[in-house]
Amino acid sequence: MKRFWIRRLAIAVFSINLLAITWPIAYLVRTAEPLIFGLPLSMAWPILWIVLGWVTLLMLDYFEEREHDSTNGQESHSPERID
Amino acid sequence: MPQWVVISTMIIAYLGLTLWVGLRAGRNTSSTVDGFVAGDRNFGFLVMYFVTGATVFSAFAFLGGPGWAYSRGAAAFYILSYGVLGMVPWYVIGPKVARIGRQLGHVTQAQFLTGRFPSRVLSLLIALISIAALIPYITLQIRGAGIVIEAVTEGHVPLWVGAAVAYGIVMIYVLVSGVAAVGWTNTLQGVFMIAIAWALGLYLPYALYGGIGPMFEAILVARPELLQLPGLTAGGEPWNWAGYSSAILISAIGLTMWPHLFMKAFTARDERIIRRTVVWFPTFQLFLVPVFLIGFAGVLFVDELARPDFILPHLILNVDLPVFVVGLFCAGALSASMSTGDALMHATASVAVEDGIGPFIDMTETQQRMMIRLMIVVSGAIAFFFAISESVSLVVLLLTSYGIIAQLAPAVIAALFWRRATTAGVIAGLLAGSATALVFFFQPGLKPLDLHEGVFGIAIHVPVLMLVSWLTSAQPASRVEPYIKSKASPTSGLPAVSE
Repeated sequence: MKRFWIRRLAIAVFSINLLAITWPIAYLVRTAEPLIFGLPLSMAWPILWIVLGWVTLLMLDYFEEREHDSTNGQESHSPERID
Repeated sequence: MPQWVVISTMIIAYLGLTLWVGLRAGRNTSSTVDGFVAGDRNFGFLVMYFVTGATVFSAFAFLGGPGWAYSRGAAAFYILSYGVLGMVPWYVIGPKVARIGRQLGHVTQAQFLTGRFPSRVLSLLIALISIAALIPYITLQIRGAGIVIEAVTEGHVPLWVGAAVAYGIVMIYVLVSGVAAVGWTNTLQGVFMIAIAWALGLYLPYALYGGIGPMFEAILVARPELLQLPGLTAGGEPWNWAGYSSAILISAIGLTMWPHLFMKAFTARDERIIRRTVVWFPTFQLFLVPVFLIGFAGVLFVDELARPDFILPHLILNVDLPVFVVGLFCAGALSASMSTGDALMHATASVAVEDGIGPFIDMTETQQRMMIRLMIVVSGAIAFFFAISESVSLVVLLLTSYGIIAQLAPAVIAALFWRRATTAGVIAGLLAGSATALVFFFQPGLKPLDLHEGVFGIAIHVPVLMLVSWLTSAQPASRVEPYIKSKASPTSGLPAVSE
């Protein structure tokens, strides 16, 4: 059940991501100022979305795995995970 | 000792290390097509992470990235924007492709698609599209390597010699070890690329401006238009929002459809590894941040460079850096070029043999591996020839190939998610979509809106695919089953991700 909501949330985040970095929303952050940690706003904005995307994926994967371990644990294997 | 001799020595040492890693890589791989093309489906997480990252970021990112930031400013941020979005669908699609490939024995993208839509025409069509897109891509990598070596040796090693040596080595390790060499050398090259890009990207703004903030403040005073979205066109005019937004969209759709990336799904040891690769990809994507900082560092220091792609070598050679740093830069740029070039050459040859020739001529395993090796030499030679004979149109060819490669996306989605899709529908869609993209590319005046031609291709492709599929008779359930019901299959160790 939790997995259902986490997936919906992930889909929502990435849909907003697409809207945020293209016209018209990107138009609102088109300027260089204010500088954010020294970077122009227009550059900091896509970087922010890379980081948000990463956090979303980490969260999604964490819950997918946990769910998988609790519901499908008996089904089989996941071969060694260490490289 | 003159500076260029020291640098050449460093380059030789670096290339030697790469060759050693590449040759060692294949020792434990089986002598089969599965081993040569898909690494016995045994790549772990670390290797998959670097294969994906280092393959995506090519010589274009290392040389072209700073060039874009320098000449087109904020336009370069579209490259920053699409990567993660392009990779995310792979979290769902990648594991499915890997699982089906394992069950049905696929090693290429066309085999995966013709497994659901059996047709030799489709196989040949995909092979032709792939090769047409891959050859210019290889050419640019080879040229990038040659440019870097020529620049840092002050012309003592001409472009064609540098390119021949670097890609001679790539060819040796790919021929001997197949995809295993691609995997392990990319790991080495990926570490180099990231470390060197971050080091230079942080060092140059400090050395030239006293910091990243002061650098952008100075640019803001002198060239404010450069930092404003959507940046400038190649001609220096303001770019438009439709072009910027649709470039993001089509690049995101096309990203994982590139055959050399798609095929890597078949190399993963298990589905879990593919998902983790996607999860950690954003950390690789951030590599573009220092790359752009390098380009911006050049804005107030280098006047009007006729060829902006040379900004990085130019800056490196003109700001009086220690020779050691120049050598490292060179290793980083070669890493970026070679880590994409090896995967491209390997993919081109595999696709040509498995999808272009395989369906028409019966070959034994040994013959297939021989043919793939032969085609690696042929494709390398063709690309090398293009690389040393100056032709600007190749860059243009590569940019439009994204529009064509993106046309593979509806076919892949239909194979995995739409039971009613038929072979005729997929072929018709692919032809209509590619033709549309090509027409608008060659006749941009016909475009009703100023969008990337690939977007029009997709807009025609999808309805044609659906319409023709509905007009032709549905596929037998046995054909669809492995693709859409694959979650119920007993061989699958992990549940399907989609609902």
